Amino acid sequence: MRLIALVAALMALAVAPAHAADRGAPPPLRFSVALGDGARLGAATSLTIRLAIEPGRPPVDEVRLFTPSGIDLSSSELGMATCRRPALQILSVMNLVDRGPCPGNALMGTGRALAELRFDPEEIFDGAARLSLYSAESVGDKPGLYVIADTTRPVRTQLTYRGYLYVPPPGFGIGMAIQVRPIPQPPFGAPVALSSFRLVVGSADLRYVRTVHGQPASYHPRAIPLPATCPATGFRFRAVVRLGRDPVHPDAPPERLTTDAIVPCPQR
Amino acid sequence: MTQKLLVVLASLAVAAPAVAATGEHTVKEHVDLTLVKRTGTTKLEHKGRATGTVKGTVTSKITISHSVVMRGTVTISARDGKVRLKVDGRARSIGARSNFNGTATMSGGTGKYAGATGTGTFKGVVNRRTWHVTLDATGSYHY
Repeated sequence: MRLIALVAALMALAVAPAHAADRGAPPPLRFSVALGDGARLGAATSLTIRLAIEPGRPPVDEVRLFTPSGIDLSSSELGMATCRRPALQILSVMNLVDRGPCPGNALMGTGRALAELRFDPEEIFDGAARLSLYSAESVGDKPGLYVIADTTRPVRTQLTYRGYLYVPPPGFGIGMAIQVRPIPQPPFGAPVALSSFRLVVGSADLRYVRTVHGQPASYHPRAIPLPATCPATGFRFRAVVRLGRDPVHPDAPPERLTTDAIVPCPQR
Repeated sequence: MTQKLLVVLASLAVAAPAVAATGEHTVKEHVDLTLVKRTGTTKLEHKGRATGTVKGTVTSKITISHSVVMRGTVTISARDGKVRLKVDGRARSIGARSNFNGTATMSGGTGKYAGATGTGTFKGVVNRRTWHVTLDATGSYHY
């Protein structure tokens, strides 16, 4: 009996440090969403999406974002124009900077991203970019998107990533997939791995142009309409990040990180 | 003898349209719809005209979900009866002129179309500012 108690105590000790380590370890994926200032149920608002991946993970291959049921782009005015890019630019990912790659009325969101240039495990340089999310030509039979990243360091260049909107799993409003393809010829030959991004979709300073009585007129497009009601637990957004193959363990299957972000209900 | 021949010809003349009127019929439609009512952000009611094999006025009640799914009912009121269709479409782009396509299934009818069954496909464009819709549809039905 005493022996059993001793074994149990030893096992508990052996397990305890692992639990403590888990509690202290940062989550592999951090994700948060915030509604715009003064957001109200039944009215349109912006969404600020923040996502960060734990350093040292294999490079991100794809990011999927799901909005809660009832929050989608059905009656939004975002993406009134369509951005078209040459197929070669999509394939090569990294291109010379084009100052006007897409029509202004196709712009849906802006933000910033940080990435790592991984020369080797000991030599990693940070990179930074400004992000623009555009409505784009269809991808297969789905409404398309482009994320254009204008890098500011370590080199000025333009990265073009393709995405699309699609019907999400049950319980969600709209699915957005962004394919983060590896750069075929990366800067200095170092693979680039996305570290984090902040993207504001439908921000208050977004301006479109339309013709009124023959004259161009600037206006703020209706961003993302919120439903008239909100679940008691708040709005649940989800991020799913698919990582590429780990160069250290190339036989291991690619990892998928999933996490939810709960946004408290705004006032009616 | 001549009288007999006339009777045969007359019966053939009557029989021919009857044979053509039953069985499989292909249809090709162009539909133009204007928004007449909007409930909330996702329920749209349209009214307009169909020109093509079946001509008549058209009413539709569509619900949009997930930004890209359009489901609802469409009724074509022709001179010789009404056709009710269930439609299931998907948006293919989200620009001001959003392309969509989908399938339509006959879900009932009156007059000439009572008991008819059929399916079809459609593709069109919706203006996201005015929700004006134009579409082209093809299909076939039996009765």
